[in-house]
Amino acid sequence: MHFIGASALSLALGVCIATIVLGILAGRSGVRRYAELARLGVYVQFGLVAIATAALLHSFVNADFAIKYVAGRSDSRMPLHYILSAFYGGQEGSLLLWTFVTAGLGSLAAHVNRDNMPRVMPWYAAVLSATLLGWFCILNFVTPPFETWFIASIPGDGEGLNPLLQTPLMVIHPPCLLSGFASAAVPFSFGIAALAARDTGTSWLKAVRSWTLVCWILLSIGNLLGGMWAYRELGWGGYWAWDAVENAALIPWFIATAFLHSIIIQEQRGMLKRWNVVLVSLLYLLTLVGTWMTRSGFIDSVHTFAESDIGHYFLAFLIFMTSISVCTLILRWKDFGSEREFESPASREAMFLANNWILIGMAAVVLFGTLYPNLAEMVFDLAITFGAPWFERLTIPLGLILLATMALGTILPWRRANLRSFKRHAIPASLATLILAPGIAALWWFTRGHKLGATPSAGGLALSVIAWVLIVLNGAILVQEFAGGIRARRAGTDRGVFSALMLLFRKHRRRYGGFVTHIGVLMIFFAFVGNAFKVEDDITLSVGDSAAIADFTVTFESIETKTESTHVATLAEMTLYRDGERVDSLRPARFDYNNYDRMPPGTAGDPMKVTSEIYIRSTPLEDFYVTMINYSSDRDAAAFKIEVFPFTPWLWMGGFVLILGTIICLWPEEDPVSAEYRRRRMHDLARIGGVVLCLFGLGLVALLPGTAAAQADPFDGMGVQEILAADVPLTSAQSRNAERAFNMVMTTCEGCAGKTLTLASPGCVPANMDKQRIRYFASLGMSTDEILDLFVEERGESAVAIPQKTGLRRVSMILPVVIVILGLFAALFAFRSSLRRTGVEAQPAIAGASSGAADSLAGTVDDELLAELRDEIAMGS
Amino acid sequence: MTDESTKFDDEVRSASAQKTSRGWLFLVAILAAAALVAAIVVISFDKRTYYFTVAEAAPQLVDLRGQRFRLKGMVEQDSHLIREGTLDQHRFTLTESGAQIVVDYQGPLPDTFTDESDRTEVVAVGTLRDDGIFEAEEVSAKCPSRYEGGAPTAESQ
Repeated sequence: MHFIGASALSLALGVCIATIVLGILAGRSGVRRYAELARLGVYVQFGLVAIATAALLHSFVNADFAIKYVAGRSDSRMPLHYILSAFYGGQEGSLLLWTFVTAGLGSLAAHVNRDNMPRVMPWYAAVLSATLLGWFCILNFVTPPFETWFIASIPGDGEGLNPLLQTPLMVIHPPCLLSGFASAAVPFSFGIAALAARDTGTSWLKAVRSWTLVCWILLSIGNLLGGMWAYRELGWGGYWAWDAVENAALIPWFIATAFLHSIIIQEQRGMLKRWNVVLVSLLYLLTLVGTWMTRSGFIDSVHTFAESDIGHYFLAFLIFMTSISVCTLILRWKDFGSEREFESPASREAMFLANNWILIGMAAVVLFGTLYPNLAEMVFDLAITFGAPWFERLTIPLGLILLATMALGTILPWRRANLRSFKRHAIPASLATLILAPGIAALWWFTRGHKLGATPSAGGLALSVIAWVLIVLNGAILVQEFAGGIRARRAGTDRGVFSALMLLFRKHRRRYGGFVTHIGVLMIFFAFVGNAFKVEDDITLSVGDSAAIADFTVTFESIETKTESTHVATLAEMTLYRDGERVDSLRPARFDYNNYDRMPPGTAGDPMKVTSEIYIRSTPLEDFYVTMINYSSDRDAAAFKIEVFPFTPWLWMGGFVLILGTIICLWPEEDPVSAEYRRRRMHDLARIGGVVLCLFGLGLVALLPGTAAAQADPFDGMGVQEILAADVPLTSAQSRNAERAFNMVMTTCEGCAGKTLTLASPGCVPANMDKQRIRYFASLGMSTDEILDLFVEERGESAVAIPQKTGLRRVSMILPVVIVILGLFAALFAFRSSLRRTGVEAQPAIAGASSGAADSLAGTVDDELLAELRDEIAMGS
Repeated sequence: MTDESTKFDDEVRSASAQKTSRGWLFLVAILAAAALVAAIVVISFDKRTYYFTVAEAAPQLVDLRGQRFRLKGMVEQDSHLIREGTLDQHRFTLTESGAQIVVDYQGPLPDTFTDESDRTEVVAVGTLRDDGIFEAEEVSAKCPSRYEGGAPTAESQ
C-alpha cells in the first residue's frame, strides 16, 4: 500500500507541474485543447490524491504498522472511527487530507464551471495547481506520509491516540477546519484567474461567491466544534481561549465573512472589484499564515503540532503565493476600476463597506495579538504576551459596531436612503426594541438573573447591555423583513403564511438565507452576553456534604470506581437542589488511563494519565458545569469546580441556525431560463458523484481487511503442547527455507514485541508456535517467499520484518525524482511548442473574434477547434 | 429603474459625486484605522503581560516581586505536591537549565499536567509573592504532543 500511496503522490507532483504549464499556456493562447488538458490535469491530481488517501486509510484500517505514520498514531484495539481520526491526527495525514480536499473541491469547481468563463478557467486550473504544488512538494519530500520503518524495527502494535482526542467531536472537528482552510484555495484560484483573464463577469461572481461560502461554512463548523470540544472535554470552563491555533482559524473566518458581504456590492453595484480580489487573496494567504504560525513552532501555543522544520517550507510557499498575488494585482490594477461611485454614507453599500472594515480590523487585531509577542521578542527583546483580556477589550467593541452596521445594512437601501423609507423601516423596529429589550431583560433579571449572584464589572455590564439592545434591534428588523416579505408574497393570493415563507426562501434564497444566518449570529452574540453573568466556585466536599452556588445546592452523595477496558473510571454522584427541591443528579468523573500507557518513553511525549470527564446540565437558558478536579486517596472527599454559564447553550443553537442559513444560501437558485441547462448540469453532477463514489468504492474494497490465509492451519484442533511437541521432518533445503523465514517473521508475542522469531526468547510460546507452522509449510516444499506471503496475507505487511518487495520500495524512493525530472522536461517541451504556436497565432481570443480572425487562424489551429470557433462566431452573430 | 437609466444617472452624478465620495471614504477609513491603532496601543500597554522563562526570571526574582507575569518552564520530576487537607491546592517546581521557581496554584490542573517525567512544559500566569513563590492564577500545560488538539488550559479566577 505504501508503494501505491507514495507513487500516487509522486505522480501527482508531476501532473501538477504539467497542469500549471498547460493552464498558463491555455490562458495566454486561448487554445481550447490546452484548456481541456489543464482541466483534466486538475481531475487527475484529485484522482491521484484520492488514491494516496485511500492507501493511507487502508494502511490504518489494516493496522499496517510498517508505515511509521500509522504506527505512531493508531493501535489495533481502537474502534474504527477513532482509527479514522488518527488518520489526520498528525502532520502528514492532515496535510494529505488538506491536499485531498483542495484537489477535490477544486476539481468540482472546475467541472461545474467547465462551460462558463472560457478565459478564466485555464488560469483557474493553473493557479489551483500552483496552490497544490506546495503541498505535493511537502508530501513528497518533507513529511512523506508513507515513510516506512527501517528493517526489523517494525513495532508489533501502534502507539494509540491520545485519549483527550478520543471523542466523536474530534472525529469531525479537525477535518472540518482543515477542509475550511483547504477550500480557501478555490476562491483564491478564481480570484487570481479572474485578474489574469481580466474577467469578473456574472459567472465568475457566482463561482467565487459560492466557493467562499463553502469555505466559510466549513470554517464556521470547524470553529464551533473546536469550541464545543474545548468546552465539553477540556474542562477549563470556556470555549475560546484566544490561543494561537484558535486564532489562526478565526482570522480567515473574519476575512471570508467580509468578502461574502463585499462581493454582494460588486454584484449589485459593480464596485469594489479590486478590494474583493484583495480580500479573496488575503483569505487564502491568511490560511497559510495561520498554518505556518501553528506548525512551525514560531508561536508558543499550548497546542502546536509536533515542531518540525516544515515551517520553512510553509514560509517559502507563503512568500511564493504572496508574490504571485501581489504581482497579478499590480499588473491588473488598472483593469479593475469601479463602474460606479459611492453615493451616500446612508446606503447599504456604505454599511457593507463599514462591515468590511470592522471585520478586517478584527482580523488585524487578532493577527497582531497572536504575532506581536513573538515579533516584539525578536525585534525589541521585549518579553510580553497578550491574554484573553487584551483580545476581548479590542474585539468586543468592534463586534458591537458590527452588530450596529448589521442593523443599518439590513434596513438601508442600495445607493442612497430617503428619509421616508428609512423612517418606515426604522421606526417600528426601534419602537419594538424600546419595549422588548428592557422588558425581556427585566423579566430575566427578576425571575432568574438576580438569583445567580453574578457580580459583573461595570464595563462588562455596559457592554452586555449595549449588545443586548443591538441584538433585539437586529432581531426586530429581521422579523420585520420576514413579515414584509411574507405579506408581499401573500398579497392577492390565498397563500398561507408558511407557504409564503417557503416561497420567499425559494425565490430569494440568498437574501432570506442570509437573514437566517444573521439570526444564528444574533443567537451567538446572545450567548456571549451571558459571559458577563457567569458564576464559578472551587469547592472541596466530603461525601455527604453540600455546598451552595448561585441558587443551587449540590450534595456530594458518593464516589465509585469502575474498571473499563482502557481506563479506570472514578465517578462522583452528586445531587443538585434548587429551592430545596431535587432537580437533577450530576455525575462528573475522572478517567485514569495509566494502564493505557503503552508508549515507549522518550519517543513522542507522555500520554494523558488522567482526564476529567465534565458533567454539564444544560437547560435552555444556562449550563450547570461540574468538573471533578481531584479526589482524596481514600475516596471520601473530592474537589470540584462548579460553574454556571447563562445563555451558553444558545451558542450551539445559534451555530446550528447559522449553518442552516448558509445551506439555504448555497442551495442553487432557480432560474427558469436555464432549467434545461440545469438539468444537464444535474446529470453532470450525478456523473461526478458517480465517479467519486466509484473511487471511494474502490478505496473501500481496498479497505476490506485482507482475507485470511488460504492455506488451512495445519494444526487446527490441536492443543498448544501438542503443536509444540509435534515433530516436523524437514530436508536440509527445507530447513534452510524455514530458518530464513524465522529471521523475517515478526513474533506476535507482546513480551518480545518488535523481534523476529529468531530473536524472540526461546521459551516464547507464540513464537515457537509460529516456528512450528513455518516448519510445516516448509515441509510441504514451500519457498521462503511463499511462506512469508502466507504470513503477510494473514497478518498484514507488519508480519514481516524485511519488506518483501525491496525492488518496488527502491522504485518508490526514486520515483518522485524521476517524475519531477520528467515533469520538467514535459513542461519545457510544452513551453517550446507553445512559443512556436504563439509566434504564429496572433491573439486567437475565442470571444469576440470576427470570422476573419477565425479564418486567419486556419492552418495554425487544428480543424476541430477552427470548426468550433466558427460555430461560436456564427452563434454570436 | 432600468439598467440604462441607472447608468445615465450615474454618469450625470458621478462627475460631481466622484471627488466628494472618494474624499469622505478616505477620511473615514483613515480615521477608523487611526482609532483602531490607537486603541491597540493603549490597550496593549494596559493589558499586556510580561513573559519570562524560568531561566530569565530566576536571576531577577527580587525585582519581579509583586509583579504579574507569565512564566514558562518544565515541571520538575516528582515535585508536584498537594497541600494536606485540600485536594486542589497545588505546589510544584518549574525548572529550566538549572534555575528553579516554586509555583503555588489553587484550582484544576490541565489533564496534560504530570510530574512523572521532566518533560511537561507549563505556562503559568500569576504574581510573584514576596517569599519568591509564584502564585499562579492560570496554568496551561503543553505536552510535547504529536497530536493536533485544542488548548488544555486550566483557569481559576
